[in-house]
Amino acid sequence: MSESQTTTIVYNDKITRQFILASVVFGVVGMLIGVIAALQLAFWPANVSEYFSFGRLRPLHTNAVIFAFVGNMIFAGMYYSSQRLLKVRLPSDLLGAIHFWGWQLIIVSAVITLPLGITQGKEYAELEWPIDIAIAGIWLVFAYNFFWMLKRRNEKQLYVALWFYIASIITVTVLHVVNSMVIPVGLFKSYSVFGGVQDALVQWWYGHNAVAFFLTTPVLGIMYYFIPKVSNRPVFSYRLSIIHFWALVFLYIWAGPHHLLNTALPDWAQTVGMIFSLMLWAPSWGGMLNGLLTLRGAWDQLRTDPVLKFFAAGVTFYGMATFEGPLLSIKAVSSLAHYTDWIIGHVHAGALGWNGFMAAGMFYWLVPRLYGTKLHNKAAANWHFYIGTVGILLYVVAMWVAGITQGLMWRAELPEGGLQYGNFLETLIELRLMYWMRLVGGTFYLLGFVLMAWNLFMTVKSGKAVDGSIEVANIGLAPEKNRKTWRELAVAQPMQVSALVLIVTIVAGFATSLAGGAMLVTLVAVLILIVVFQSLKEGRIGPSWHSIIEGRAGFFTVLVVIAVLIGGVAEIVPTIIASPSALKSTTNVPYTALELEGRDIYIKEGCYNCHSQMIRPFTWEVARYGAPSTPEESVFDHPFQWGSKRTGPDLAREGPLKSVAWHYEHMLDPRKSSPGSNMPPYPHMATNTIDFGDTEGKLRGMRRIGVPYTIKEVQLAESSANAQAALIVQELKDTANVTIAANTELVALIAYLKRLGNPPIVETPEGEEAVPAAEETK
Amino acid sequence: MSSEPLRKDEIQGQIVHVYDGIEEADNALPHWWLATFFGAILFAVFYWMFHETFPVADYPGETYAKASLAALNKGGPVTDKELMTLTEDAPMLATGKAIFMKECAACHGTKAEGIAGPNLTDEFWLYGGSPSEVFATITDGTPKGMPNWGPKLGKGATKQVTAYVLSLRNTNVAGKASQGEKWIAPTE
Ligand code: HEC
Repeated sequence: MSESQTTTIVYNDKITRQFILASVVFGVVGMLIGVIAALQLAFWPANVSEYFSFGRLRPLHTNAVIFAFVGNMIFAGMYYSSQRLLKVRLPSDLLGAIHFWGWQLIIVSAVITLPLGITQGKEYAELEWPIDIAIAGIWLVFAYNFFWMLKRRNEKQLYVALWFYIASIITVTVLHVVNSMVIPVGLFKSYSVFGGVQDALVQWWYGHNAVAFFLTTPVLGIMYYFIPKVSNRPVFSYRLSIIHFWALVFLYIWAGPHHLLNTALPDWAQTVGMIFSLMLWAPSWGGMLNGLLTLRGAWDQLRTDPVLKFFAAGVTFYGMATFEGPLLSIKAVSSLAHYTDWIIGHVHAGALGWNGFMAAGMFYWLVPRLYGTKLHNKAAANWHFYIGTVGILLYVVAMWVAGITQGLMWRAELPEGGLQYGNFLETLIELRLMYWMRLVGGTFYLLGFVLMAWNLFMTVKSGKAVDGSIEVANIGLAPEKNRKTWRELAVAQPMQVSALVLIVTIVAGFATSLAGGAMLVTLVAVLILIVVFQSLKEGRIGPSWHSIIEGRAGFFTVLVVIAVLIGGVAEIVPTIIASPSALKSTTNVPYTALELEGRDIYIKEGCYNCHSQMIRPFTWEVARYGAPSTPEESVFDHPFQWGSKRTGPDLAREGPLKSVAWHYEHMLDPRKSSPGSNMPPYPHMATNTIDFGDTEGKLRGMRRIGVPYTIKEVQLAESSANAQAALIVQELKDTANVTIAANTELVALIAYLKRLGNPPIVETPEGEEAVPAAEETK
Repeated sequence: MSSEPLRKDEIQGQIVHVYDGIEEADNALPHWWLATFFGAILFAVFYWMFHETFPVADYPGETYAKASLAALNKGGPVTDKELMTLTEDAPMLATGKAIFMKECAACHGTKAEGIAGPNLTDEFWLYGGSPSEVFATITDGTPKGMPNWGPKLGKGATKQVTAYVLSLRNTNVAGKASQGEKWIAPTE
């Protein structure tokens, strides 16, 4: 090839610099909010204002860390590495800029709306519908630019990092769109179209895969680019990449129900969640192995190079977290760990260890290169590593101890029957020291991160922005000889085997007989034989099937879509099909207008961040909270509020337990009735008012998504809310001698709390059969 | 991917691809890794078989139901409160319903609408409608011909079927006309 046949491509590295800056800034902010939230749990007076109480701050913390810190970090890494792996400049700088600025605007709107209590009440998907639409739009801009880049690439074969990027972009789109389906009832208020069990399943299908396809797969791609690049060592194993990539992409999507073990979710779905989580263990460790074993021959560099220290530790934490995850997915282990701080420890091993350290390693390596200079202070980077590691260990150990202690105390039963620690507060006060230790750990980690921010800032100051470039041959992709059509690829042996395995699995999965069992065993035998056979077949001639599809971005993407959709469809469609009949046969009654308003306050304040509403079928749990929760009880809950953490007690059967006056006092000052409680006080609720004029619209929205309100109930919503509120106001006056306005948030909330686990008895006129409301509205 | 012959690394072995200067080797997978991979798949298959294909193992709700039946069988004298609590306990009700369908439906109907025996879905009771009276009726039988189920079912299962019957009270399924006296729950 002669000189004239090449062009110089200058990469768009500006966008990488911008995303790194945003990631560092929002990383500091997100972690600082985390530290404040940790302080609030140890020391309740840190709930300084209505806008920054724990229930509103915690969603801000999780959203900031996941979507602002890690989000900006993965975009930086993806733009930098993809351009280089594809040997092409980002096709549109404008779309890139829209992506960057749009994303930051979304983050800013989250920072404004979440403290205001504008939320959908679904974990990690709290942002209200206008912001959700913006997220979808910006994500598509990003996706468009990315796939355009794939199309214009000057490197035929796709390296494994790109496989992970493709899978991430596609799956996040699907997850976000499905889980955000709501019916708006105002500019800043909406209800999930899914309710109860179904909403729980969709939410945790989303929640779990946000961890998988936002926090894990893009970062694995980044690992595959930067670890070999920085250490200058060859990647350990190409075939391991293939196996663990496809296994992760296919298996991950099924594992969501492991967040709902022992709940009212149908048992078959729980079983699916558990076994797929266990099967994920080896594929996850495949990623860890490929990262760590790439460092073979570079271990000595670890002593001197802070970048590799961060990477090696990050990958190790990934291995730790992906071992702990399957362990926690075992039903028996979950019965102990679910709702406790153990889960908080687990997620922080991943977030601080894996995401935080991979980000730090990448930033320390990239920033000097993007500014044509050297890292300002290598010793400070090493210090960051040590402070950060100590911080993570303190954090995780504190949460292990707290979680296991509380889990054991909850289940401790006396030999003669009854609970050993019948008072919930006893089990909370026991954790105080661990909550302070967690605060120290988190603060250490934040300090290390701030040190990095300073170090990177000084590095930037000492250099000048430079963009990378490369010479490429001018001919684009050479036309392939003997190009296979997509049909030939689709019927090739690996596809036949996969299809066969899938069909047999599906058939056997449904089977409930000896024949089904026999089929399953045969299937496993066949699978093992195929693998053994394939491994013996050395020295194939010509490129393998997989290497052909690596050169065909479109076909590859289609396969990823199929692999990802199978699990989601298999889990979610059955509950959608079951939903109409569940609504029809239920004897449950929708919330009254006032209770619904109260429920919206519960969601607005983020009570679900501390309280569950899902009693599991264990004797010790029933002794504490009452009979196990049923799917019926939450059938009208849009969104469901089962919760995932019990900092406070379960509230599913709260209604009959406490009086109206007790709630009044407790909400204003929880410590009066419950000394040692860390629940925030809510005095503003006694003065903030609700406009019952909007209530009709809310009921109408609910009716539209299947809640059987009659037209009359909808029309009379306002007067019904006023009437019920007046009764509560009167009762407060009579029993506690307090005066409160009827349209305050507190009155509505009390109505809701009194309703929990206490549905009204439907009076049926003698001789007449009860008409289910659902039929009447038809 | 470059077209020059690829080198062999001393540690990682033959290089198979190079992308943007990143070399890729193709080592065999460690045996222990393969063992965990296939081991987990095998476990998953067997676990599914035990829980779904031939359901020999219990679901959490079933385990709980068994444990609580054992507790029900122990217990002291039966109280109204205990029986009413059971009516809110879904797994208990499900077991109670199964017993009802097997033993009671022949005389009382599958909807408890009443055939030979009286309608159980109205407000009227021949032998008293309080939870403990219903329990006693089922345990000891009646002079009109209902057998004494207590010895056959055992205390726990009798409580469960009582809870199921109580849950049907006042649902007013059309069927046999009401008999006995109207029973009104005492207000607390
Ligand atoms: C920081 C975590 C936290 C948040 C947020 C929180 N709570 Fe609590 N809650 C607790 C703790 C701890 C207890 C147990 C001690 C006590 O009674 O205060 C509790 C107890 C309760 C109880 C009494 C339960 C019982 O019968 O013993 C109710 C009711 C309650 N909370 C309602 C709410 C509502 C409503 C919200 C939202 C406005 C809320 N909580 C927000 C931690 C929290």
